[in-house]
Amino acid sequence: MLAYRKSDFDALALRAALDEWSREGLIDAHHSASIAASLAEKSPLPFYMPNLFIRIGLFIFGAICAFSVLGLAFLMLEGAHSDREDGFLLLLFCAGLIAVVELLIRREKPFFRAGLEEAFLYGALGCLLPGMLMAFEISGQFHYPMAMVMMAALAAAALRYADSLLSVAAMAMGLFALYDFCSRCGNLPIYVLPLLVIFLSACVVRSAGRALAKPALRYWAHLWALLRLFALFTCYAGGNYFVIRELSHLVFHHGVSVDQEIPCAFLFYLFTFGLPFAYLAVGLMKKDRQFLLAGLITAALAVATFKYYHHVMPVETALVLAGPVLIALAWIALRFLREVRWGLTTSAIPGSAGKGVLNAESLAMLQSFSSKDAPHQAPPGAAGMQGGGGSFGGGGAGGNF
Amino acid sequence: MRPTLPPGLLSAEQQARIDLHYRNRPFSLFWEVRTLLYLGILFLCSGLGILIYKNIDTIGHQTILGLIAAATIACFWYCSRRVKPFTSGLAPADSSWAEYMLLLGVLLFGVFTGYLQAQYSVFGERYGLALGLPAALYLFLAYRFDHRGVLQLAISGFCAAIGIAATPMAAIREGMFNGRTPVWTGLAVGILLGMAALVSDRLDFKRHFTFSYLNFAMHLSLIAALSGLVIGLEWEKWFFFALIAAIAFGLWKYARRKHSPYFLLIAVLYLYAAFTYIVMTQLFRSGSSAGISAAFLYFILSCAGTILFFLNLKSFLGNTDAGLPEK
Repeated sequence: MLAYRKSDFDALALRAALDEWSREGLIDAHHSASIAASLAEKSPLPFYMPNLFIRIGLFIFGAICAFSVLGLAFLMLEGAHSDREDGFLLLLFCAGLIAVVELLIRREKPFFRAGLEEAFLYGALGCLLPGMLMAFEISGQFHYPMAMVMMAALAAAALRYADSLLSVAAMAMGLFALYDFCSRCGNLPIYVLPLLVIFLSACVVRSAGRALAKPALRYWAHLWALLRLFALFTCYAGGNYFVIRELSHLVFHHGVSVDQEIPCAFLFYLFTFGLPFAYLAVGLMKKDRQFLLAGLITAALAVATFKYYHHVMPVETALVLAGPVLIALAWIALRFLREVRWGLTTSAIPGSAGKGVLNAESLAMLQSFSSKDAPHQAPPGAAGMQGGGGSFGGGGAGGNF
Repeated sequence: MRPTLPPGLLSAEQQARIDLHYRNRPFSLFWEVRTLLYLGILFLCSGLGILIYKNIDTIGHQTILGLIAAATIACFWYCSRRVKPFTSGLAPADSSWAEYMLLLGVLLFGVFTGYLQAQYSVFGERYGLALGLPAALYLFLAYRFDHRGVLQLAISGFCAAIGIAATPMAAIREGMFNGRTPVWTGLAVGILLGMAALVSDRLDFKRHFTFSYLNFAMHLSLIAALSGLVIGLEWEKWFFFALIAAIAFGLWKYARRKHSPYFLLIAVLYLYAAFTYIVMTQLFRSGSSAGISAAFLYFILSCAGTILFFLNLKSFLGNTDAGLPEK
């Protein structure tokens, strides 16, 4: 199933663990060096794993290269060819790219998170869907049977190449298939769709959590982690008031007007505001960073949902009021958790603090990079934060190894 | 996930110590709390900015100004109380709270001067001064409190005062560098910042500021030169291409010395863009349809070449696994 040698993954994880342990003084440097030496003897760094920036460069140039090949192929076959032939060409191209990916992985030092094989893999999967639609002359739009096929393809690729982003794409595709199926089958399925989404997401959260604890599945640990985080968000989206209300007049083309209240609005509001608190509570009690992150973000989404339908106060007043509240909250947390209480602390503990790029410096840099020309204009709040998302970049939770 | 070590590598005592460590390690909310703090500061300053902008005619100006000034002074006072003696090296880290209070003070000061200028036109028509004075203060604060974030605000403030956008995105969005003057200004500022970087590095005076200076210098000068390449006439095009190649070569030397793949990547991207621009203008000059095939061929070959370059980087650059860009 896995394209890589499992022993290589173990060697990599061991290296990371030795680094961490010697950094934290759990094993002395001399000893860790001798372990590392005996390891290196048995298995040198098993992968070609370049630095993040080289990875970005390889990804960009790999993608341009692949699509130029495709463009040239189409250009050479200019003239007498049908949609069907175009579709087969796309499928051929997809197969070719997969073959290149396999070759890159079968090298003596397999490419792993190297940018190049990722660009080719994503390119191949991107060609697969239009290729199938055109080659098999599936008329009309992209419907749930095709979405199921794509989901299977994405999931297979995610497992084979241990790629966490693809696992998320597979789950998104599956949810789309569910939505498409329900919206085509009359009224009853669409009423149970929110419940189905919530239920399935909760199942994914639970089983991904279990998979994380299973030693036999450790090679895909980063995949389970990202999938779990994504499922936390889709679970929230399944019952979010905004999502339900906007989807309801998308699905029922007639009968529900834009400004009509949805049935059981109270329940959905309860869900919208209750779930973030539940996430935060679970996150703090179980010391689970994913729940914490999901809780913080969904709390912000809950406020945004409410603001979308109810005009309580202008944005700027809300910002001026919310700002000091957040600062005060942070201050209280910093004071209260200066010493460890209930196993929680606010001081940076290497290995335990989540990976953040959110230090004051990089944030100010972000701000100076995202605000229009000077810090004198009102800093664009939302835009600045979106910019921050970009700097995580690349392979999602991939950096954990 | 904790890997299991092959038996015999760790002694039982070490294994027990590691197990105990993982069991007793507290859960750190370091980044979560910092995020809240930053969001709070961001919300407050953006809210104040919009509030003032919208109600410029209706609210009591003195009151608002007084409040903002008081908050700014409170922030700076708090920071000055905790400031450590000045050092030309990296100052020891203070609490994150003080760091963020400085940021809040600086942003509030920006709101304050903006308000002064909008309402009372204190600086009259000299907008450059209105932007430059706070930037000068930021520069001082950045060195005094050893804060790279404030330094970056200062640099972008100076660029705004001169009338150029300091970052690639802003430059593209605002259609900067459409004329020759901004191109030369951008190049001049880039050189100035580059010299600042050189001074920090060579004299070991706040050496950790080098990255910020060099980063701005690199983007500013390369964007300016790229715009010069696009808008320039025949001979200018060659001049600007040579300039980009020279800057890229300089960055390559620097990246090699510092083992910094970040600067290398940026240099390669700009150089590739410039080279591609030259090739494309030559290819499509005659307007024949064969140009498209040739263009695809060019992309395939050039990208393959660049990929090969990246793959064999180790032999050029030394060990690039060293980690993040040195800052």
